[in-house]
Amino acid sequence: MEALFIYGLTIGALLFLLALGLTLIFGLLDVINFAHGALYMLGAYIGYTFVTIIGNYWVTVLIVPLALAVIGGLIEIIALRPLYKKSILYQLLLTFGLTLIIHDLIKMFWGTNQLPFETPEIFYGAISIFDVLIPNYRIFVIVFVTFLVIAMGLFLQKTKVGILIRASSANRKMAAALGVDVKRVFTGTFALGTGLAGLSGIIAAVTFPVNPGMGAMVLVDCFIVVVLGGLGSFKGALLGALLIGEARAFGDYYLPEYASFVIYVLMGCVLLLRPRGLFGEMRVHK
Amino acid sequence: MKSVNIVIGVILAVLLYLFPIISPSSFLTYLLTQIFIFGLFAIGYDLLLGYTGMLSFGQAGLFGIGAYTCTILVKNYSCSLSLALLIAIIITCGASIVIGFISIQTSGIYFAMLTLVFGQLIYEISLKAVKLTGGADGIVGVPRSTFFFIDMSSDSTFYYLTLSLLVGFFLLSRILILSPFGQVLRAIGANEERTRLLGYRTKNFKLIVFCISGILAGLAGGLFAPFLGCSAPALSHWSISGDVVMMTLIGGKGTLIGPILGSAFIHILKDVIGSYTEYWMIIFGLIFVIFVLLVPEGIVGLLKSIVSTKELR
Amino acid sequence: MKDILSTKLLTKKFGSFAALRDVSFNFGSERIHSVIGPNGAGKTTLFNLITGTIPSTSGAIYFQGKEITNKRDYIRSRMGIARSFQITNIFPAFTVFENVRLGVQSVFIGGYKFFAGIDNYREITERTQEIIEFTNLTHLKDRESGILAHGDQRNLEIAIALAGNAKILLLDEPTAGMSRKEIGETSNLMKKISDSVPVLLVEHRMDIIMSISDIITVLHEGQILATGTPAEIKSNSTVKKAYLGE
Repeated sequence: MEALFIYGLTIGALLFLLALGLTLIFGLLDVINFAHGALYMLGAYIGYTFVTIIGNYWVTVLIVPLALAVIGGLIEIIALRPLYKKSILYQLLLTFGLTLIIHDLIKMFWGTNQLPFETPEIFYGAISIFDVLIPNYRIFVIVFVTFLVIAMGLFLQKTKVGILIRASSANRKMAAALGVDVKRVFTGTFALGTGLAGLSGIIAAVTFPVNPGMGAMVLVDCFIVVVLGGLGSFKGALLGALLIGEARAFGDYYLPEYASFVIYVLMGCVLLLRPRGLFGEMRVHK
Repeated sequence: MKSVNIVIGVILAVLLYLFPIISPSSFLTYLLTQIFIFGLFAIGYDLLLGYTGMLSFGQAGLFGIGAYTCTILVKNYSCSLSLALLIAIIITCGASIVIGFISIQTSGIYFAMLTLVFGQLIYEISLKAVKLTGGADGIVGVPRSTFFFIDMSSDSTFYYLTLSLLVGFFLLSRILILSPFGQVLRAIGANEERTRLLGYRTKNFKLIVFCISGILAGLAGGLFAPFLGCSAPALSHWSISGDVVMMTLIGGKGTLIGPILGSAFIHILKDVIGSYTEYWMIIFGLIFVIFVLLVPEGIVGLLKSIVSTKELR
Repeated sequence: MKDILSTKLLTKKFGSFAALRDVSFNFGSERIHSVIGPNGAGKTTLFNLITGTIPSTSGAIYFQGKEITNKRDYIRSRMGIARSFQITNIFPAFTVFENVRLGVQSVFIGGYKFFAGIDNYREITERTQEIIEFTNLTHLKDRESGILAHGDQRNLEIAIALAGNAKILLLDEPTAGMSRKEIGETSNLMKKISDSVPVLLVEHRMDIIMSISDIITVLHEGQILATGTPAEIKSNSTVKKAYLGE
């Protein structure tokens, strides 16, 4: 039981990294990045190549998010920026188009078979905490993501850049009037969100199968997380990620065929009662 | 409708009807039939997206439901195609009401995400409900059966069926758009809040058009299965939803004829590019992105601006 | 003398910030009732509460004697509460004619007619023409509304609001961004409208307020400071201190 709970936390942690990136991007740009799943997948695939070449997983974990952040920044500048003046529809369509491109690029360079990602040696063991045997990997993920979340929270609350992001997110025009280079904040935030997606991908690649279907699967779960938690809410993303993570863990164990349906039904029920999600805000879209 | 457009439309339709007689080419018949089927799908999608502004990524789910319903009825119960299609439409309509009712409580981004989730749900059901759908292998050996006692096995007969349905529903959709109901749809797409403040209960309208769109998707699916001769979960995959989005946008959303042109464009392109490389999705994705960025009004928009610059001279 | 519109202890809080607090407002038999107050006083919030665009935190709203506090926005529209917007909120891709017709259609046949073309409904076409003439937009009726001059768009705002069989017209800064001449024309239009439909007006231009209003309500920081005729308000010392004196 407890082992399942820990497993759920692990999935939840990875989902939260994704949801965090999605929420950051949405909070600032009002865009839901449909390419998020594909970028997560790209992180896993690029990570695989790096690990194969340089043989060191930890260095890869540092490189991949940075690489994805650069890619994200480029995407924002080239493809998204021209569309801000137009309706949200076009931005959504664009990120969707990107998904197609990234999906086939991955197939082109890495093929359609599942990649044999080698689990780094350090993750082979397990530690016993309070009589529960927990694999090293899961401890790592939970601890790492918790640490990251606290660090991000501090970053957003205390540092100048973080406050800049939050201010621009709350009131774009005001921030621009105060001299903030809103364009750069946008690019940076999108890059940050993309980097988080890549980070989630490379971490997930250790135990989750690396194949062309992973992007879509995780995207749907990620969407359910943010819809459940409420678009734009970090608290909601956290709660949603934990809920879905646990649902996946317990669902896959007790009802393997129907785990997904349980989640869908859960989401449907929450939305019927609270269309904005658990912590959703009323956003005024211009 | 401008009379020039009507004339062009009639000529085009006549040509298409005469085509199998003038130059019977089984390959072109096959390609055109596909274009017609997806054209039908895309018209429904245009009503949803182009006019009412509802971006849905789950229409493939309804396409799949239509396909499987028709498949099972025709293959296992020796149903006639006409009856099978009718039942497929009814079932798809029911599914649309359920999905629509939940999804329409939200709008915009939420709505897009929810419909994607529902589409995936249907996809997973198709994969897992092996006894009903044959699981990942799908169902093969689907006969064409008869449509109101006309045997559909020949490719050219099926061609005429799909062409006629396309023309028929195209005309019906045009009538719908020009009706008072159509005005409200356009208004919702342009400014939903304002439309509500004029006394319109917009959620109802959105649900109705969602069902219409779903019905056309289901009809297209019901035609596609006997056309191919099989059904598979892939028909509900989000990439099919993506195909339809692309057709609608590239062809020109909000025009009804645009999506049909888009269907032609994409199918022809797929065929041409497909003979050179199997990575046509990247090229498609690129073309799509280029259209979104530079030609958002699609092919129809391009044609319109060419015509109007000529008129100005 | 029954009030056509009134609120009782109407309050709207956004989090801990009270945009409106215990506002008890009455619109009786006067023709033009203006609401004034500095920015942030709660005027647009009041409008949004009346039209049902946002829900109230507490208090009640009554229209033509019936309580509408919990009625949804489109229902209130059907009851006759019409509104124009501070930031132009029209249908830019539609022509002027189509814009107005949408409102007329709602009153005459609603939207659930699927097969006859909209052009076939003669009474709708005629009524639309009427309203367009009434608001001096006839020369623009087939123009795409998105490319109209600002002043014409503001008048279209009013026309659309009228089209929906308005029993009361809420106008939110209708002269925003207009030239002197346009302001004069719109003033006259508002007076013309008030002959048949009472007008609740939010405006910043004191000269207009003073010249056309029957009653003025002064809002300040979410509460009513004073209500009265223009003369009474002009001589009210509290008002002068808080608002007019600025």
